[in-house]
Amino acid sequence: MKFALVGVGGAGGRIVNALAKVERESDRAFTRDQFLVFDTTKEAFTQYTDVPPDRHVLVGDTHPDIRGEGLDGDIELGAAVAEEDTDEIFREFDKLATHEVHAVLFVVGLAGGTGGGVGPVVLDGLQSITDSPVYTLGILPDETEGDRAAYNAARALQTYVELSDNTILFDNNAWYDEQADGDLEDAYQRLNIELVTRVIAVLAAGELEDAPIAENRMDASDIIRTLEPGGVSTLGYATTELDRPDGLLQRLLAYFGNDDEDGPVTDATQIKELIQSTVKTKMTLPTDITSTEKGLLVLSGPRDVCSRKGFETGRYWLEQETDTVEVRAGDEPMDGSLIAASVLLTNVTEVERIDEIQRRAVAYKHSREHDASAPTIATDADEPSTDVSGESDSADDAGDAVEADSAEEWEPKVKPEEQIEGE
Amino acid sequence: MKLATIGVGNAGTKILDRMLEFEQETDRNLCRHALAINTARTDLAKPDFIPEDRRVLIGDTHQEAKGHGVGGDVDVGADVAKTDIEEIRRAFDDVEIHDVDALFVSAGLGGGTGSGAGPVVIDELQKMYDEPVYGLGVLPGEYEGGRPALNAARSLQSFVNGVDNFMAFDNDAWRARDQTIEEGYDEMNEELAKRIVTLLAAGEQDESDVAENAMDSSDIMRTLDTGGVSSIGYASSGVDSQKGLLTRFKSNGEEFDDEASDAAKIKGLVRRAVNSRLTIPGEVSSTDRALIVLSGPPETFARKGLESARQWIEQEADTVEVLAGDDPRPGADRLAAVVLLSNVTKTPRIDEIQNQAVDAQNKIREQEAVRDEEISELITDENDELDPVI
Repeated sequence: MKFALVGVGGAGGRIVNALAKVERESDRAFTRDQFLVFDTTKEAFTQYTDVPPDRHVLVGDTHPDIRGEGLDGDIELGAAVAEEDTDEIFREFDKLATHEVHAVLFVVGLAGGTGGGVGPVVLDGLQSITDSPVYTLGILPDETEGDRAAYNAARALQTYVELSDNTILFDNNAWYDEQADGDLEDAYQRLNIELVTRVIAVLAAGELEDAPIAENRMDASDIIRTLEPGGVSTLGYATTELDRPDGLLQRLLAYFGNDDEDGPVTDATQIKELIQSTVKTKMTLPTDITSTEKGLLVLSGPRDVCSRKGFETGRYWLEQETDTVEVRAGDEPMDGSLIAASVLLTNVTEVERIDEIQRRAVAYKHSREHDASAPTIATDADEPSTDVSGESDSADDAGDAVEADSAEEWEPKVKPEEQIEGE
Repeated sequence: MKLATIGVGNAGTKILDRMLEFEQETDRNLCRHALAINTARTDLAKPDFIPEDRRVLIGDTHQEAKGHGVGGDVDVGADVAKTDIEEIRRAFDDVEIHDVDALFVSAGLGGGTGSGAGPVVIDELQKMYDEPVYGLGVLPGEYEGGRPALNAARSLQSFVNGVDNFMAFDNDAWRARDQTIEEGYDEMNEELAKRIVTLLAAGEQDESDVAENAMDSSDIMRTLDTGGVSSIGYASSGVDSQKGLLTRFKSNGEEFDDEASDAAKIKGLVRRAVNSRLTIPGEVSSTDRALIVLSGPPETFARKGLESARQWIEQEADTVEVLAGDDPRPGADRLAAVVLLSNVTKTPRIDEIQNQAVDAQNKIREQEAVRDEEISELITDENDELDPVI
């Protein structure tokens, strides 16, 4: 599928930038150079080095409350500022030739003032000018990002699911590990690589230049049909290294004097297990997969060795396991010794993490109402320090407020090894 | 027989391509016209034997297809073909219909294009021509899942209603192990192409090497003229060309002995064709009409063998309408028997697909009925205290 990329706010902009970089550096062409990034701070644009400067759009630079200095996590202000700039926002849409792509991918962090507040206004405008479906790729905050982040995310989620043709989510909380990653800001790059890998593997399947034609190519229509129910969706991904004589693993084994293995062709079980691990290991949004409505599976790798039976039984397993009747599947021929299986599960409706964010958001709302009615109470445990201190963050993206939360909210997360990797 | 052939969708096009390959390899000339119709631009680049100017992309201006397929949706597939029906008609402008005996449409029934556009093409051909239209349809295997089964169960009705005969191929019966994705369905398609071409190309050499018991195109068409679902059996064995030549120079007594063993061999071959994998497994006893084609070097034909094979099928199928004939292929290195079972009414796979389709349809309706409510429950908090941003 070919898609235009629109990012709003820090998280959205960084991910659009990462996708643009992958496209530029690989032989995969999926955007036809159609990008736009919106932000509310001038400094933010310095990060988006792979998006041409004429595609950088500063929103609210004339607004008296922000003047290009960001929203400090205020989604109401974000939405208000964007409403005032709608004429300018619409003008920027002229730079996108949406008829040349199959869809638009709208990328935002849900917890920030820009992603959560400006984003919905931009998306609303975008939907009104294009016949192509617009999918949101949204980032849910880590729990260390605080109560207001959860509150913003819970409200923005409602808006995005209503306005988008589908909302694919990535949960920072599932992927960020403070002990291993350090500050969330330092972890962005790793998290973005994880996400971008998955997005490209599914949405940009079949867009390799000069590749042989797949036996069963994933057409844009297949992806669009899978996303058609709307709602919330999640991505899964797993890779395996081939035991082939010219494979990396085999070369390493030979180097270390262990070359008695010689199975050049994958067996059905290996492929089936690879497909199973796409949903058994961590997905972008961990979810109860039986609540899925539709699915899509892409198997990418050297097609002269991938077992067809394994591909078929793996797909069938996925259909049974998700309790659906529509799991589309396609293959993508790719040289090398790596086989990757990628899965998109659409309209998942049982997501514990979303309930958690909503509970926290409600508690935050109550505490704010409580504060408003009894302003003399000086300390409120639920109130994140960012907000009471009025500390000004240069970028308003939720992730950047990580240090703001109190230490006791932090709990170490045990990370299972999420990929089968031969290396 | 001489055919104008049309492959619709990915599977249909690939099968037609393999048919063209097989007839070229074996010096047959069955497909006088070949046309590929698809909704995905990329898939139309695949054929090796269908000329580039005989590939038609439909739906490139259709809102839901735009040249990138119909996403496995049979209704979109049908709609696309109806919208572009003029384009499809135009593709037949240079078909010299008096040169062909029949039209032949191949399609996969599990996807969206073959299953949806196929019946539209067939209806149009029936309107345009008096010649019979035969269909070849690939039924999805159980492991292909609910949606393909639903597409196939619906499309099968349209196909069988539309064509003069529907030759079925069941992926489940032919699913093989140890194949890579690259090989894909190639082996199955080759086997299918071999059966179809050997059967339908019999009698095309009418004018040349007239065999004493030669199969005639009209015999094949008569057998196909049942309007139902057909299954095809096939078996072959290598020919000892040395022995074939020697037989003629031997004394009468010895030749008689050889003929007896040739007859037994032929009867055995025909039995094997019926008892081995049929293109769709079915009860032979439920067959309406049958036809046997013996194809190979004429010196290996034994009239008695073919006659006793014919009688055997008559008994098995419990029908008097069994035709048998030779298709002489001088120089061929194999002797092949093809058996056409026309209008087989007991095929367990079709029942299974229908059951799977009903389940799938129910599931899809259930999901659609609760969809909005479940999404709304997911994105709102328990007591609905949180508001959207805009």
